[in-house]
Amino acid sequence: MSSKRRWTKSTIIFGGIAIWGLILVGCVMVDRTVVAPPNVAGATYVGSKKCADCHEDQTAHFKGATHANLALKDDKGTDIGCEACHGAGSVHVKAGGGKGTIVNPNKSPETCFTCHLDKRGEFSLPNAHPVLAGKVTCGDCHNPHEGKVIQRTGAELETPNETCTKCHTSQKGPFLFPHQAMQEGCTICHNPHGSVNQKMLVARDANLCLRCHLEHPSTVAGGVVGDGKISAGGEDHRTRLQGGTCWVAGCHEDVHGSNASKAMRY
Amino acid sequence: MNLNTLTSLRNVTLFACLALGLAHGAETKSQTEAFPVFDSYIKITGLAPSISGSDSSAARRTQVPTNGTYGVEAIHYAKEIDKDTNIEFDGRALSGSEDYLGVFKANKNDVGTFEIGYKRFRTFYDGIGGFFPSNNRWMQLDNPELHTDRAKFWIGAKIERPNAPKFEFRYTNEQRTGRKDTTIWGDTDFTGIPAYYGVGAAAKNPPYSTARKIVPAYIKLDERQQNWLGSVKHTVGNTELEFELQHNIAKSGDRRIVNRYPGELQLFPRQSASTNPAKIYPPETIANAVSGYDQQNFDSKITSYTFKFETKFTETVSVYGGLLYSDGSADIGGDRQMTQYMPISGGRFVTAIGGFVGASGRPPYSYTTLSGETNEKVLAENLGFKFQPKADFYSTIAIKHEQTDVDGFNQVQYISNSINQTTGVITPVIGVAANSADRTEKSWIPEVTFRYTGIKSLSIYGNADYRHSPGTEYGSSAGAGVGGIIGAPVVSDDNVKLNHGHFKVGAAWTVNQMISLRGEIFYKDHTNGFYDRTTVGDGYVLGYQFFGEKLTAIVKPLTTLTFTTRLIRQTGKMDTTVDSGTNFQSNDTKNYNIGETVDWSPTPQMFVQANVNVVFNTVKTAYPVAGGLGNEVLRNADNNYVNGSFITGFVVDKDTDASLQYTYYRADNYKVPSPASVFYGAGVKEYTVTASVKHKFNDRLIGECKIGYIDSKNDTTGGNTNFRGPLAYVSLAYAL
Repeated sequence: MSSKRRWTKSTIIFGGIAIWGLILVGCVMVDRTVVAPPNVAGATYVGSKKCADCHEDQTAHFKGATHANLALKDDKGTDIGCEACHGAGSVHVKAGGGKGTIVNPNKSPETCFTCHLDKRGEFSLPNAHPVLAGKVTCGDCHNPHEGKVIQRTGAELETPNETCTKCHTSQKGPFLFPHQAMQEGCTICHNPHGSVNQKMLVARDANLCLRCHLEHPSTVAGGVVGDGKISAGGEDHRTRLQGGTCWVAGCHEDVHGSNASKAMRY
Repeated sequence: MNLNTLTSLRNVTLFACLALGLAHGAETKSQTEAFPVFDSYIKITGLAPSISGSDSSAARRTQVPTNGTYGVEAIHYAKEIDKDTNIEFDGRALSGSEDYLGVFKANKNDVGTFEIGYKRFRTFYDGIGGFFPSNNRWMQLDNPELHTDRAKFWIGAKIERPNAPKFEFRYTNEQRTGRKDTTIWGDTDFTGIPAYYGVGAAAKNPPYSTARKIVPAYIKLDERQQNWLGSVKHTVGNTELEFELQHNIAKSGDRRIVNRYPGELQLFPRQSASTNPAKIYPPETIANAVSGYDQQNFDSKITSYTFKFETKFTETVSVYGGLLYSDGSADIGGDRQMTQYMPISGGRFVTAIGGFVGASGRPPYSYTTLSGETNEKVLAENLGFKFQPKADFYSTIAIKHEQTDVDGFNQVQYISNSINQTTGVITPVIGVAANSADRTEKSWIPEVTFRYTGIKSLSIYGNADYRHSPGTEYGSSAGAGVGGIIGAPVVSDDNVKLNHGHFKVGAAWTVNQMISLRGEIFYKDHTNGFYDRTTVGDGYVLGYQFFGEKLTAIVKPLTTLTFTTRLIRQTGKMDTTVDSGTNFQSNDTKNYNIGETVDWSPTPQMFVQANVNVVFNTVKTAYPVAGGLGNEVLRNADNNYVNGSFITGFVVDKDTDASLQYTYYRADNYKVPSPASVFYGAGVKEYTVTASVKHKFNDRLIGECKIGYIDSKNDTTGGNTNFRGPLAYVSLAYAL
């Protein structure tokens, strides 16, 4: 009689215990410390004033930054605003600066993810800016040291879309006939952190466009609510939408703007 | 309990006991240091996947090319020339992923810095189209492995002398080339939906069309952007001054390659409409194939001048402001060349750029721009005050004014063809159309912010801004219409009123050393009104309101254990009003995001980190209010998903660390589709497992090895982009 080896629930449970035991072997044999990113092994807080000694450019205008709203202090009341993101600074100060002694969120998003859990989830999706791959950093779009973290909004001088068009050249324009949605900002259609949908779209189908373009059916002659019409631009688009989205070939292809067609057909 | 279970149980129990026994038997701890951080080093890497299934989708998801990547992952060299001067070099050269970097920096205290660098990396895409389940039709490019290369060269210097103006000069040159996918898919009639022609066809044809737009397309990128920047900053007394001059040249000639109705050619002569009974048409005879490209060209030059100041009047009051002026113009060009196939007598066919038009047909829009330009001028000013009357109260009041003027024109030459299908004689139909546009906008944006920290361990803050933006918008657009003839221009001439309000209030409360709570409420209210200047009452008004909350709780029951919970809820509604008609709700969006992260360090030699995100997101527009067949064409867009990861890292011995990682992603939005539409909801199930070991061979050499496995299943593509397989990574870092 031969018994074929199989993975069973017991195998997994007791196998897990075995692995755990191996881990403990290591843990009791050495006292070296490993820490989950983005911490600095063996470091303690020194306070933001200490950081300003060398990093004046980064600290001078932090008072007006969005993240200053957190007003983080340690249990002795020391302002630890800088170290909340960069990790405890004592090792860095003692070493006189240098790599490996402080957390640099511009190299890894782990710091940002400690609070922005949702962004970790979004950047892990199949359609996302390559932040986890290290090709893009949070700091490429956000400045945590000064002003609003969502840059160029409100009464700030620059316009919001510059954050995107500094890399996305072909969307920069100006187009002869721009898509009005561009005035709402790129994020009205795209989630720049990541989406389940291709092109980081907030919706993959015609719902994306109909949010702003769905009209009362009466804009089509004889139309009434519930008659099966999908009215947009004064026309019933139901038949056309059978084919796919609004921005497929032969329909409204130039979604960011066009230089030849006001309806962005081409 | 069967024999197999007993055998397994015995084996693993023995194994576990052995491991635990070893742990218990370890009496002495060896003192050792953490892995050294090398001042200068070189790290050599190899990464190889062994994927089964869709190679291109695996490359897109993992951003690892099919044949792997290898080379120098990092080289870092740092040297102190003297006590005030140091230099640094960072480099990378990975073949396969074509990831390159070279940066040289020099810094001299109280003098300044110099930097020159080049970097380039490759992004992978898959050239897939859509999946139509009725006949399992799946479309992808012949070679679906697409990629783009993004490159950047820069050179810059800063002069930072003590008590002197600080100067910065920087030049960047960025390029993006290659091919990437697009969702602007083409049409096909190979959908398994029958098409009858002849007497009685109406009774036999299903109540929806045969064509679905699932044919893949791609974009050939050709983008370049150069930027020259010069700035000076200086503090005079209590005033910080900053002036910046930028000149930007951007060129884009992206070309989208389009295929419509590939493999289709209509019958000639067509079957008579009086054929009785109606006969079913083979899908390859329903339409005529069209292929070609659509290209929009830009060659823009923008010069901008920015001046900013901030004067600290007292310890409690500062005033700040600025002025920005930019002047840009662009040569615009378009080039769209579509070749259509057309059957003629004798079982032959002909092709022509511009396609063919009949008395009632519209062309596939082939055109060339003869001339065209756009101009944009922006003048923005802002002025604000910062108040800090008490150490625990900080507030700003600011206002911005912005005037934007954009105008442009072009002349476009359209081409199409009329054809005598009996003789095959083609007669070009050529027409020139003029387009023009003019837009002005004058915005006023007041903004108020505050922060109060007067209550112990509590910070309360808020922000409100309101953009009131009246303007005008004129556009005149003409193009080829029926018969390829240039139609009368479509003219719009509107008064525009944009009113955008944003409001936010939040608090951060450190309850005690164990608990921190943060909350924020936000509200966004936009109205975009376009009112026809020539016909009173005509126009289009879009309104929307979004409301939401963000809540974060950080709980540390132990110094080694942290729970972080984040909840985000956002709901929004939009409505449209056309002319003087009825206001109609066009959108109802709901989003709930629940995130949890657990950080645990049971011992200093081990950490565990687990996180999960659960998202419920739905965008509702026409469904179910459309009714009838409208509800079969479009359903709500659900974007729900769950993803998470678990990682544990631990010390194995004095020279070795190890970690185990598991990730999971599930989106289940691909519902049973209707044959009346194309359904796009993401339906993916994916997991990865990775084990890694990092070992210090000696004080100058560190090695790392990772073995991973990924399994991805995609319902939305009918399983055609599924892939699975191991990936192996090895690296050696050597101190220089």
